[in-house]
Amino acid sequence: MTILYLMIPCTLILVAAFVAAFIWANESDQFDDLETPAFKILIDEQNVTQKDSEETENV
Amino acid sequence: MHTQDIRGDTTVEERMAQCVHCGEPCAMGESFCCAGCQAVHSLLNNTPLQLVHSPKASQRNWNYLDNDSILGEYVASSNPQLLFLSVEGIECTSCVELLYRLPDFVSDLDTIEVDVSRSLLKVQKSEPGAFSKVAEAIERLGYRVEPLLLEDYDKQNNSQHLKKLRNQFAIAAACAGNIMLLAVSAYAGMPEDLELIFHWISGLLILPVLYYSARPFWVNALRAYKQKRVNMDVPIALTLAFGSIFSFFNLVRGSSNVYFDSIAMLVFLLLGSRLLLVSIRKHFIGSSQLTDRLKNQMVKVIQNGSPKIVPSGDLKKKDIFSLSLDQTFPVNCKVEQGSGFIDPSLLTGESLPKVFNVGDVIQAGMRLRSGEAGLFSVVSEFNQSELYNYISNVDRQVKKPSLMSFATDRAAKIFTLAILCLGLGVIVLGPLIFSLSIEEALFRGLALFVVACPCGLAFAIPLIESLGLNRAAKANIYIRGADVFEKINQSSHVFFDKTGTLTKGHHSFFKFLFGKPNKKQIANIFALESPSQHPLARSYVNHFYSSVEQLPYVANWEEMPGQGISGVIDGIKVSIRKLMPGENPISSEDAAEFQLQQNVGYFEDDKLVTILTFKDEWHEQVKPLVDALKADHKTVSLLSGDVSDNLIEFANILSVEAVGDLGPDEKRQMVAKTSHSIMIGDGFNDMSALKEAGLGVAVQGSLPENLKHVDVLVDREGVRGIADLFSLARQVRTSNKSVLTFSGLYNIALGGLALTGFINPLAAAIFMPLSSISVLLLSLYFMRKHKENPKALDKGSLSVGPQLTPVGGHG
Repeated sequence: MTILYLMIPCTLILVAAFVAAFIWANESDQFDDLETPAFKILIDEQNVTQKDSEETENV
Repeated sequence: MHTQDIRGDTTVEERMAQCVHCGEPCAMGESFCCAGCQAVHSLLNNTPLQLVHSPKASQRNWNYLDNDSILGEYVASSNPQLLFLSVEGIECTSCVELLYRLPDFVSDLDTIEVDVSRSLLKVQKSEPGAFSKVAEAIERLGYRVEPLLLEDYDKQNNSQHLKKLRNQFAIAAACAGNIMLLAVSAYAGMPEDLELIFHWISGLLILPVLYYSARPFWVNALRAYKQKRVNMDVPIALTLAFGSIFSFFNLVRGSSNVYFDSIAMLVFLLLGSRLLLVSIRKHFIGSSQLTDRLKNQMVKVIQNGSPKIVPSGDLKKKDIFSLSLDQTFPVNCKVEQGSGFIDPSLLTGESLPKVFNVGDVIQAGMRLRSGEAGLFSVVSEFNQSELYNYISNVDRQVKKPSLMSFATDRAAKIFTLAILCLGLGVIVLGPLIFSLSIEEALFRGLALFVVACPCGLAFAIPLIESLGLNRAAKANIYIRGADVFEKINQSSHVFFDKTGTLTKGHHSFFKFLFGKPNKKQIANIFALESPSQHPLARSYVNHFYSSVEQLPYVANWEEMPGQGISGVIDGIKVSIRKLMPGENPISSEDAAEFQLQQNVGYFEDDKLVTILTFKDEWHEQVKPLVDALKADHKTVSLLSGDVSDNLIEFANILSVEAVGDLGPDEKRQMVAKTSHSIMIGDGFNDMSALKEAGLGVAVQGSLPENLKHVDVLVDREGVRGIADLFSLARQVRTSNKSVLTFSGLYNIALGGLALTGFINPLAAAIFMPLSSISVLLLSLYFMRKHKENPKALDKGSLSVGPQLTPVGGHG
């Protein structure tokens, strides 16, 4: 049972981390617009492709 | 006037193609359905993206966005590089992609953020000011854009409350989850020293719940106390206070009688149900953005002979102003100079453009389609126009709770007061009269507070109404407020406008009424009509789309607004226009039919070849709808602006009363005579009647903004939407009754058990949120269970359309 003395603080730290992550996401408007991100998939892909090609050119 | 040469060497298929990029249908002669698709297609084909003047763009003068004194109203002084714009026409991924590529066209842009759900664009520049290039670029890409005043953006962006509620819920959820884990271990049995440690950890975890998550309950209870009133949060706050003081007292004493688990669960579940309610209501009942857009729209005012750009909200009576193409008239005004077309669909739902000339009065809300050289003088200012009044009125109505939820709210408050008195009575009098121990009396009192608190009762009605509004919105039925459902259920008389409501309201090609044009002549008409955007022309083109194979070449094609189309084909002068008096060759047999249709003549060398007639057809399934209404004990009447034999025939088939030849005011009087009436009409021509009726329902408006004039807008083809509206109202009524009965019985039964000591505070803390959850689930269940058979209207489909001669004109 002594393992509990290690596990409980770990749990509490994990809880704090997840709550902090949620609050960060909420405060940075992650839940305000749930439609646009679905549209943005293509754009990221395009930018990644551009970046890749730039890196290839540099090499 | 619009003149162009039409090339004859293309096939019909080429000229009426689908969007090359996404496959959606697109306008004649265009390869793409929207600017976004065009841009992404270019990118995929490795063509450099270029900013071109879209034909839809009106090329407005955006210089005022470079003027610091004007710009002050749009940007915050703390961050003058940031501007919010309202962008109309964001349709698809391609549009988002294109808008994110704005920095390719405007040099000093730092970041762009597109918000599709609110049609907003957030633009951050590296240098302050000078936003004209941004607005111009967006417009040239083919989107309608208006910068948002700071105050309007703040109004739209009131999400701070929701954010805070989310944070409070997240903390309560995390703490409650972990406290429950510890509590279950403690209940399962463990060494006493470890159990005490678990309780101390629970005590630690409950602190953020009490201090932060439960704050809404503390604040509301304190407010109620200051105002000497009772609300639902008073017993909750009392329970939280007594429960935590008692638990901490026992914790310090080393006793295991602590109720942190119940307190945490109580807060978590209550916040969860509130969050759900707030989210649903925020999503479905937003405030109007139309007035903001109109007020922010910049117009050119002529002052002392020189033009000046001002926001529409600043227009004063008698000011002379001009508009760019596609702008909406923000005020009622008179035409001082010029002529052209206006699109009245926002006000009337009528798709046919109207001609304006000098001296005509144009109402706010109409859109300028051609004639940008026109000058207009303000007749009434922005906040005095009918449009503004309708919208403001609706906004006020939306914010009001429905009568039903208001009544339940009052009932819940009285119930709460009774519970409070009873609970406090048990705590105080229990030891004195019933010889209970102080601890037992406190337990029973707290248990009663928690278990009998009518939280479920308070949110059940708004929840069901929100679900009803949600379902309606999904079915393209836009409802102004939840009390519409009650009004529908209470109504006894339903008035239908005929044209546009029971008929389709727009004209489709019917037949050639005179002469028999040959294949070549049909193709000639097709070639003449195909470049025009006039609805009659579009309907002809759609009708003959598959039968015309090769188009002739049209030289000197010309469209005169309100007069017709002309051109030269194979050296012959051809034209399509209205018939002049004396040109009508129709026999007396056909005369009645001719009167009821929209007709235009096709001429070759000024000689009439044929007459094209366009008809307005009846919707299918009118009879099943009327039968269903009559079965629901509602009287049905037809009101029409025209008189025709088929109106009477139609009324006979439906077995309803029909009154014809009614002007707008006579319609209003008819409706006013009846109490608890519903008027179902198609727009501005029925507006007086719609306003006078207990409930106004507009159908098939071209834009959701039509909602602003009436209580309900059914934005769907046919009458199925109206049937859905009535069945939804019945469903809301049944669900309300069932859930209220359940919630009341649940609270009374468990309250009795708590009073008699069969339920302790721990069990009560579980039962009470269970009540909220069960009410939530029941609401969802009833709203599903009572979904009526969608095919009900199809049974014995008694479509009356084919049996009647169609009717034209506008009733």
